[in-house]
Amino acid sequence: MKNKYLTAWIIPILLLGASCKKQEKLSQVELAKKIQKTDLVGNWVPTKIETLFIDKKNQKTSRVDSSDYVKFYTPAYKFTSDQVNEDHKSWDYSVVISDKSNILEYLKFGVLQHYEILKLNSDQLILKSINKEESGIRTEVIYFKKN
Amino acid sequence: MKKIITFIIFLSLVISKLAYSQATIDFSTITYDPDFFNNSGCPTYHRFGPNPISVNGYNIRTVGSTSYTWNAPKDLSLYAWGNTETGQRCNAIVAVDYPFIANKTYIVELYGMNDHNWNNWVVPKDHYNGVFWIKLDNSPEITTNVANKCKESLSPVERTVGRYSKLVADRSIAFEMKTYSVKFSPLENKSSVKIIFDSSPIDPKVIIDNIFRLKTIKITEIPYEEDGPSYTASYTNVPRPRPWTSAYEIQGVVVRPTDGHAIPIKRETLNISSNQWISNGDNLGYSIYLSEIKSNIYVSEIISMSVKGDLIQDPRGGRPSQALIPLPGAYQNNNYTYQLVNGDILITLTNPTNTPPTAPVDFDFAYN
Repeated sequence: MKNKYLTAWIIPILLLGASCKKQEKLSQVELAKKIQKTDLVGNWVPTKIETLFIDKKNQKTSRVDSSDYVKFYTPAYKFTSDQVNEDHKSWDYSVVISDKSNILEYLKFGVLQHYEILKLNSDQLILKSINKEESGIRTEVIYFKKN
Repeated sequence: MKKIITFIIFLSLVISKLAYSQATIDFSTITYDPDFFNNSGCPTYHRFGPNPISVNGYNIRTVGSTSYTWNAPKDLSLYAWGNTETGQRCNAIVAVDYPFIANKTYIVELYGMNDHNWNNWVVPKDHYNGVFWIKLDNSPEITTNVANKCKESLSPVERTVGRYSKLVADRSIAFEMKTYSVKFSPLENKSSVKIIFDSSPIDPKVIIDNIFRLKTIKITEIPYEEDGPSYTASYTNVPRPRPWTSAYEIQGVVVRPTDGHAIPIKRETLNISSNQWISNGDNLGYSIYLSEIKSNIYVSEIISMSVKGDLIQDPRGGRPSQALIPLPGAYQNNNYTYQLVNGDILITLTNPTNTPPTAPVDFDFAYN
């Protein structure tokens, strides 16, 4: 009797879980094809930054994970269909495919900003940038949620 | 022989340059270090803070509305906002440790991008720049009463000009690279320069939405040059209200040297045509500022001011000359007065018909 009720509860839960997972996969499949600018439209507020740094001198790797206070050093992004607004300034942007990745590109004060879009769905955006510094290589992954 | 002389001149030029020190703090040269901000006093905010961080060998402290991002173009962004749509009001303070020595002169230069909280590349006419108060101080610590020195805030600012406090108020709101420069001639040693990017003047009608993307701070020592003897300044970053309101007055603090030199008196002539006079409103007459006729004249004291009247024949048979009618005074039914307003001269006229003069009027004035 007990087992009967348990089965009755578990099956719908499993089905629901599977459906959610399928939905997640779907959006990722869409992402892998080509992101349209309309997919980005909205206000994206940073929630976390992960920075991986490989020091050129000693090859030491350090990881910085900041979920708190992230908004104080990474401004929110606001996308329209043709401009991205970052730190109180708007720039024309493009989304291009390079090596099967979607790349967000824009010129900020004449300097190319280059981010790989790791994930985009209705409420989450994850951007990754790789920066060659004099001191080493800095990889930054920024997590945004839709506001 | 010619070559030797050229070489000596070249050598003396090089030596004279080397004899005076120069410091450059270049925010674009900071190489990434994950621990860079650990000792700033704002480590979790990942930014400069009230504790010193060395940049190019000089200690830097900040309080208030600043940000620094590692992605190029690297700069220290300073925010001065007042009366923006969001209602927030903020300023930023940057302090640099530097040994300023008495009886030497220093040029402090700020180089960066003048930016606005405005998406289009044409700034609305009713949005204005903030100002830079640049001050020499005895302590590198930033004194403020704000609750959190790491967050956007508004610190109180002493709005005075003098030997140790200068004002830069730029009227040009265009998005462009700018170099702002001030000169200090301290009479006593000072240990730091404080750069306050502020949303002055405080006026509910003025919207200040300025961002300055600071690239470099340069301090150059040169031979002593006399400063003063008196100091006045204007908020030239915003249009001047008419009539003058106290919100725009800046207090001058005079610190006279013990062996001050006499300042030579300068003389100028102004020709004001009928259409240059601006109405002060109903029955309040007309007025004009000296700066609206001639730029780059700074007046600390008016020695004399006259309106040029009718031609007078020389009794000795020489060429006729115009009579000088001292102000306050009347000429052709117009009563003229003048006043010194923050380094500028305001000439006002009144008459029974409340109309501007029909013909051009000449003024003669002496000042220093």
